[in-house]
Amino acid sequence: MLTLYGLFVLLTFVALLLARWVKSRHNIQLQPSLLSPLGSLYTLTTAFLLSNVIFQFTNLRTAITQEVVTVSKLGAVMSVLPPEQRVEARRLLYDYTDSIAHDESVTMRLGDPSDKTELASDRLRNFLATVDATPPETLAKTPESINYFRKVSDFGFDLVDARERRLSLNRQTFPTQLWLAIGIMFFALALLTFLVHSGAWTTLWAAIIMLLAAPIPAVMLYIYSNPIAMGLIDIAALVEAVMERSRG
Amino acid sequence: MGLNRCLRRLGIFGMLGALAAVGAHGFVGRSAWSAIPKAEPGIGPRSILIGQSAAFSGPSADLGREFREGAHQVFDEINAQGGIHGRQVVMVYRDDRYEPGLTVKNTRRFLEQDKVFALFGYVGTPTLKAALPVIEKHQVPMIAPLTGAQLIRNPINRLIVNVRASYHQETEAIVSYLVRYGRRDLAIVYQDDAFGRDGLTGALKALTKRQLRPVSVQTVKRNSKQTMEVARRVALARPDAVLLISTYGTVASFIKNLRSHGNDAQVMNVSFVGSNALSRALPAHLRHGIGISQVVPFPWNPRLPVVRDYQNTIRRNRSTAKYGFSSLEGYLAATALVRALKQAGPNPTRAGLIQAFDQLNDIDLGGYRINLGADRHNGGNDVSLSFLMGRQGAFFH
Repeated sequence: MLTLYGLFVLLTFVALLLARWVKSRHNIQLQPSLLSPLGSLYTLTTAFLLSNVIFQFTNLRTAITQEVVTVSKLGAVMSVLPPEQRVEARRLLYDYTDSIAHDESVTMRLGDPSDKTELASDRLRNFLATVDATPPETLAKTPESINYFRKVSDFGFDLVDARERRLSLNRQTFPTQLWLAIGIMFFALALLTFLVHSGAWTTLWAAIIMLLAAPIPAVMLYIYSNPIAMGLIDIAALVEAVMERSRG
Repeated sequence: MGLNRCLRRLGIFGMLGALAAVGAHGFVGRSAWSAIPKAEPGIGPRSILIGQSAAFSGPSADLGREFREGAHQVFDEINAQGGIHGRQVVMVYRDDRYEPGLTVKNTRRFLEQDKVFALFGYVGTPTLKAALPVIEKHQVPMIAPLTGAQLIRNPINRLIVNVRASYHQETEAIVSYLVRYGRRDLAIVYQDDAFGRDGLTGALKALTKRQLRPVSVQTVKRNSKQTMEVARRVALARPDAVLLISTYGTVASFIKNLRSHGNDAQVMNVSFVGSNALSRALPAHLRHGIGISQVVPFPWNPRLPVVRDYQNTIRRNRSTAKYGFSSLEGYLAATALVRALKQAGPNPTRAGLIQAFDQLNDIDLGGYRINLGADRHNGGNDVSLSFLMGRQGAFFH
């Protein structure tokens, strides 16, 4: 993130130097109205891209929330199983959950799934497919036990779906071509700004303000397009919290 | 810290109150001796003196503290309601740091100096084993010790009343679970004393029943954290699971060393390890998946009436006590003691107290059954498994 910010600051600085160099050699006079269409284009493009990545970020956060809710539901419906089956079922479920919190949350920063989590998921699915996940026929019919038969399989599949959704939403990265387009547009805008305004605009303070503020939209784009690596979504904390609440 | 200070103060004041009551009784006795029957030691006009020697400091301190905390909820409430037949239950505590020599000394002081009516909630097998001759000599009832050892169960000792399941029942439940889910290569690490050997016997019995043998059997010293070599040997045996029979300090050290050898075998413990204390003693990243057998219901499950009562009592007492397995065991033990004291009538004797316990046949405390009788002094049989999950140290069962 700092590299990106630095790169855009450098672009602004290069634009400033270039503008001063041009002005010192040629007496060019550009109309300030020229800034308006380029400024609008830059603003619209970054706003559109920003809203897009924020939308994607929201989807990812929703997918993770749905996943932890499914974990919580599955853990709860397992309460109807006899003790040995119940502890094994929950152990597998929470092994999987713990693996999301501490293995997959790390590999997801690089956009990858975790092999450990994959293994834990397989073990859980295998267990849910065996008779061990079936309560005995003698089990009393209660709203919860009836719910277990109807829901346990659904929740098992929901969990797989939720993981897939989380991983695929996380895999969508911001394309390099778009970064290049934004960079060029930003450079053109900075150059034009420094060329249009003579005197006061090229004073030190004005340049510093430009240098500091102008790269912010690009940084925001970067942060929102990498929400897990940037810590906007703390999967470990979310999952740990649901395990803490699932005590029982 | 504040709670400990408070409890210590309660203990001291309780003792002073009791001694005053005993003194008052002495005065009454001198002025109108013929009108009042000779009371048992520890029974005053307004107090019943009970002694508890347990680890309140040292590497196993949390076991004694949590049990005491749970028991106190019951005694505080019953005392606030006017006591039992007009007498307040007064606890006297002595710290034995889970060292048998100190337990013997404490027991002698309880019986010869403090003159307690009964002993209650002693923590540990080696400590209780050492105190047994003194208990026998004074014929004093020992109620609900926090141990599942066979030495106080088989043969039945009339003076000792157990309200929890045995270590043999716990190891049977653990082995049954492990074998059912494919973990047949079991290593056993036991504390080299009466407690550890009792657990080892139970585990071997459970394995033999399934025609299995442990892949490694190792010992650790009581209250020791020197477990590196033992962990190395266990890791070399490459077990599917490790059954530990020791207390939380030693177990936490062992788990750290075992994991440092790259071994991720399923670790199981018996209840005496001290579940909450173990969770606190382990580094956060090593907590997940550690298994512990339990002899009381799940303390966070308010669907069970006895757990609901336990939680409500803590709330009513405005106590800062945290829910926990050892604390709930203390609560259940104290509940059973209060029931028996009520049943023993307004002029309780030590023999009468034992008889009162004998009459607690198949009593349901609200999801936890106690089944005692003249020929049955092992009142509880509930065993379940629990596991630590995540890094916060929460339990599931």
